[in-house]
Amino acid sequence: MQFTSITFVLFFTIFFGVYWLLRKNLKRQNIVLLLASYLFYGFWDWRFLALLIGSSGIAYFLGLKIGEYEGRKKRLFVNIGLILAIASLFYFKYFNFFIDSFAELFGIKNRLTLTIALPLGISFYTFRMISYFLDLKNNKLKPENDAITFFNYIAFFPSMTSGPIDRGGLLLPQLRKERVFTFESGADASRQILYGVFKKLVVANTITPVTQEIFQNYDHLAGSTVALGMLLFLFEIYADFSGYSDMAIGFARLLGFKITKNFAFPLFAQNIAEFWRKWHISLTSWLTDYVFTPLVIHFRDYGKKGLIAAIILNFILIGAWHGPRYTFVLFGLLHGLYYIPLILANKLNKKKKISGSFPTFKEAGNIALTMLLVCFAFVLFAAPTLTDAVGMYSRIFSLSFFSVPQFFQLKIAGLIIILLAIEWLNRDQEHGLEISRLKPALRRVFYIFLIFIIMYYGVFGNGSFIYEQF
Amino acid sequence: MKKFLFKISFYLVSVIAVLLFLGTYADGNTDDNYRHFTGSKPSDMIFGDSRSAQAVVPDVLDQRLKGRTFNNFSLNIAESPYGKIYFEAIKKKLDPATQNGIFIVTVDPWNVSLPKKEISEKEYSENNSALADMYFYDKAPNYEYLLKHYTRSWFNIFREREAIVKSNTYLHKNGWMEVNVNVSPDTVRARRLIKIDQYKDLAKVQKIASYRLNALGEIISYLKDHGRVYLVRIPASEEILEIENRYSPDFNTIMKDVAKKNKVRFLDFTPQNKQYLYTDGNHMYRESARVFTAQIADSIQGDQKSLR
Repeated sequence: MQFTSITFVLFFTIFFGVYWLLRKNLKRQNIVLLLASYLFYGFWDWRFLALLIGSSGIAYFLGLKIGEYEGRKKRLFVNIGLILAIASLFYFKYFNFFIDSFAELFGIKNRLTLTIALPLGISFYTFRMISYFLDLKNNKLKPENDAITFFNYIAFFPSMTSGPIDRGGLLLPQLRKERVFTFESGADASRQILYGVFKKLVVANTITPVTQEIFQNYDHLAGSTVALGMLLFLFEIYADFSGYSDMAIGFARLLGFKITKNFAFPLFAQNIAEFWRKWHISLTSWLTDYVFTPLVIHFRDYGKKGLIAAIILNFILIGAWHGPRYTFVLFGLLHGLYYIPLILANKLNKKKKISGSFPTFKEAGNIALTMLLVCFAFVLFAAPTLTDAVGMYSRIFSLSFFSVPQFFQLKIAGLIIILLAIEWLNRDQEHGLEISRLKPALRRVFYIFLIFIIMYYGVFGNGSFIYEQF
Repeated sequence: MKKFLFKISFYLVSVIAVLLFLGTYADGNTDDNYRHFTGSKPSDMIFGDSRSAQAVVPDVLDQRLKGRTFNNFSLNIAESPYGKIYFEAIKKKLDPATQNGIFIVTVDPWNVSLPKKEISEKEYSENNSALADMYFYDKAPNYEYLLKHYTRSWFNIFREREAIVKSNTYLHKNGWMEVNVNVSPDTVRARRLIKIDQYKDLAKVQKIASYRLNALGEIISYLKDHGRVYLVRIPASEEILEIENRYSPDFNTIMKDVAKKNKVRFLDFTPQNKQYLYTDGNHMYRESARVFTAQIADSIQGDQKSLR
């Protein structure tokens, strides 16, 4: 069930009504929420529902056990939980990749490759479980005693299939207390959903066929066209993923929840560190807390070299999280390497806020350079194989780069300008359409404009979201 | 909550109203399948793939076989090859009260084929067809179809309506796909070369499949309960037929067996293939389609006379 599908609209409308009718009975409300989450998930594939419920059950049980003990026994249950969660993620996502790579490396005839279907959202809900165990281990969280609350935390449908990755510390307390609906929050959530729909259906879905055409036929196209594809892909993936996140956050807010923010206008980042502080925030902050910080502590004796090693390892993990492909690993590695000049110049944590209405030449240059680096790395993200990535890079760095690119569409240019304008004007807000500061009449005109744009330019066919596959 | 619902309902109702209005303009220009899901349920029908969609003209059959109203329910080889999905769609489309219908079931080697590579039934191409998930086949406007399968902005329905101009592929109310393309020898030749390459490639990866032949048998058997069935092989250009004959040399024998087993007539028009003009070597040009359909009508009339 896609957020942009008519089935979801019907599902959510009915669920929304039932959910708020039960507002005076928290337990029933949570049961309905859980059933809705399972229905939402099962709509894709009922087979994996058993896996989701089963692994939630095990995590719940282990959580209680972790709470019962201290010392060695506590560590034992934490480790069992972590091993099971990581093993299940590894089995479904990486098993075939490692077996195939091993067989290829040693020239062995591979008989072990299995037909394993990837359960939807497994990376997202497994990370929720892992953070739960680690937070219990570090006494940041108490074990959840209520099964319905815990199962809801793992399966919370607005964010379960494509994120954001919510932590127990944020979501569990909200599941335990009565939710309140206010007009202001509901209106703002609707605005956020509207903006997400605009980004996905209009911007991302309009660009998708163009980038697909370019990336599938890069070897027949001029370098300038492949470079254009590279640039467009940045807008496509941003509009697609941040559009999903806006919708997820908006739907959660309509249910009275505040979930993790995932994007903070990354297209205006002035260096790569700032970019990653603003892009896929829930994943980067998750890895910062559970991987990067422990690594930095581990490598602290090595000074800047240790920091570089920690960052590179962290980014390799970010790349590999996306899936079993060398291109993803290289995508992460490249981003890690991008950090080296910042670390050497002691500019890693330097925050650069643009204060004026327009960026200065220097600020604009920084933004352009950062986006160029990001686009360059996204080739590895978009290419299905290393050969394709190398092929695309060699097209870009050929003499044909100095030619007029094909596939230029005025419509796409216009849509990107609208997107950038909205983002720029609201770059200090919580989301792109937080325009409550505008006069009501002006606000309404803007909503109608956006609704019209969606209805007129929306491409409703390509319902799937890029991050669903992760 | 009340205030929120009240305010948001204005936006929702406006959007729904605009969509309902735009949907009323859906017609034969909307897309290549929309009209297969509109109109009253027919009693006389034509089945097959895109070759059949373009070559069998219901109007001609209606004129020749008086008192009948044919509907061409042929889509294309990806969406309506013979299988469970097409069979279920046929059951939904056909008027259940039909007792004396005439059914033209067109065949070619492609609509009874499957990929050589072993794939599960869920992966068959027709699973992506509207036939796989539609409930209503006789609503006009059919909002179910538009919501599920019209992937463009609905403003295009209004902008591209037939009152303005007929598109190159225009689906008539009776299901005939009229294709208006330039048929100067050069353009036809260029399209034919592309089509030949496509079918050569297809022949490498496909094979005649018992799953499809069984489905064809079941469909014929079902239709026989509602009237008379004619199994028809539609001709194509010399080059395409050559590919087909290499791909499945005994295709006609297989079809004769199907016909014999189900006690229906098999009409093979491929020997007359040179009489017709094809837009791309595979699909018949609209003028030729009329002549060809008249020949089918003659054969059916001849058959009915012999029965009397």
